[in-house]
Amino acid sequence: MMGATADRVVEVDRLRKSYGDHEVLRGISFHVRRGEVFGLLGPNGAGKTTALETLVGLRRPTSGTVEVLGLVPARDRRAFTERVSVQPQAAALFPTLTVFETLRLFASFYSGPRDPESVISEFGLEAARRTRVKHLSGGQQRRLLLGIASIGNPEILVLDEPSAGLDPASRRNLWDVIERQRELGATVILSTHQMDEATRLCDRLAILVAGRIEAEGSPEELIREHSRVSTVAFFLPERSSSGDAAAVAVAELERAGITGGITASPERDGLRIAVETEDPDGVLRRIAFTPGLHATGFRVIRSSLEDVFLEVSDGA
Amino acid sequence: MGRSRRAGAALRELALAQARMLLRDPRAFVALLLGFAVLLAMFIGVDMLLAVSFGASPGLVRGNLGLIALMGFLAVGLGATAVPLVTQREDGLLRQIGTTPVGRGVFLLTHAPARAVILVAECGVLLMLATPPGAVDAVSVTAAPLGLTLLLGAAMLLALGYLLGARLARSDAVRHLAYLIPMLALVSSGALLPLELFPGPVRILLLALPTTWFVATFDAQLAEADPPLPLGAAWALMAAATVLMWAAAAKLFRWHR
Repeated sequence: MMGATADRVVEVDRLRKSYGDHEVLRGISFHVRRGEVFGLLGPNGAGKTTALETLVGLRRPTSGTVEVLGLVPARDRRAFTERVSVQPQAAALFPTLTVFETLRLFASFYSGPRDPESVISEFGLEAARRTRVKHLSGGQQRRLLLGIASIGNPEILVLDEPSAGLDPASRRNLWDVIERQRELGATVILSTHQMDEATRLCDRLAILVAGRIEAEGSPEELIREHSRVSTVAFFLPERSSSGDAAAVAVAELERAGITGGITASPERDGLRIAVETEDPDGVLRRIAFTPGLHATGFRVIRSSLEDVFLEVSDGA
Repeated sequence: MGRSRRAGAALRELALAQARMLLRDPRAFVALLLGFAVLLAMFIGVDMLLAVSFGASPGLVRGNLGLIALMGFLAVGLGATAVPLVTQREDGLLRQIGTTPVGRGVFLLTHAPARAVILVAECGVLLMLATPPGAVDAVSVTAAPLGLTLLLGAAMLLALGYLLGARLARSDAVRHLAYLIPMLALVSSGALLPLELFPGPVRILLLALPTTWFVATFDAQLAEADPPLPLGAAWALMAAATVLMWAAAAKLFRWHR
């Protein structure tokens, strides 16, 4: 337990942030361990950007405490910015500088910077080395921003919606880059409202809804804790597509001990059945051993982070 | 890398980047050209036309150097300083730099040199026009104090640009100000309308404006007339206003909206 606490690089405790009468963060608490990718997941307007901006000292908390690497970001700016790099959501660069000029500029701000040439090759910007920032594609700009975030050799990278506005190929490319940073030992804190991004990148995440953390854990833990229901889908061939046949099939399944949410949808040459259950293995066994069913085309659809997110959001 | 060496590298790189931004930004260049070179060229052109018509130059350029200086300096202070700063804040560039170890003072310090070079060049051109070669006596008598007035006026109006750019969040608001302030300054400083035309209380009010300290002093020096304020007092006021506006700009400067 002591070790786990000592390994924490970020401690946020009962953080509140208000703009006038509007309370954006309502007492959130979380921690981040060294070397992990931690995600703040939430819908638009949940307070993710405010949380990250307060975390990195761009905004002062209304109440509560934020400690990063033992520093108070809003107070210890110089020491903090040497060790923590940030890619804000609404970030921009000098549009008329080239990629190399931009990296050399940002490298000059840090005491132990990386070589801009190595950043250019690591982030796949060789072809754009002499290109002015305003002529870069969205994906190239994001990669350059990540390159800038990594050029000071930071211990922690904070990325606010890093793949916002990118096409699927550019997003995957960006995810590879972020995963490489994790492999190199950096702690990454990111915000996102995209479930696939959170599932792929995050070791742990907190779901932020209307300024409150409604759930926290690894994606697997969250799915296990918050959404136990899976769907077993299969096909019953050679059944009539009439409503009576569907009712007969449902009754047949109930007699076999399969209860709960059973839906039967008539198709051209049979019935498509879906059973919502907390015990998909048991349902599969019962179907397989029920004589006369002749079920085919089995599929088990497990809950996703999106289901958890929707459940948590609806319940908040 | 040592701290002072790193600070030197950051200063050099940031100053270079700021200069590149200014030189490679066509909008800023247009603002500078319109504010000074085009205005100057216009007066020279009209002066030459009138010289052809009347057989001698009416001295239009020399008579309007105060106006040209005011517009040129304001173009640098507003169009090439305040507007880009606020636009960079709106775009998120300042927010990005605000997350690095670069401090506000260093950022502003590196923003100024490119603008200062342009202003000094403008002062040089104005001084050449005010004290033409050949008029040796006039040069020896007026060039130094006239140059000091020009430099102080330029520094003061650059500082005004930094003060406006320190905190404003919307680029459309600062653009409106960049159009409005020169017009107000033209009317209120004596550059377009002599201050003697205004009623007494209004004239006293206008004399309290920093733009008036500069234009009225410069015009009086050119005309070898008595300035509305003693020369030393006008210089002291301009220097104080410059320092105050710089200090306020550094104090009020915000990285993000």
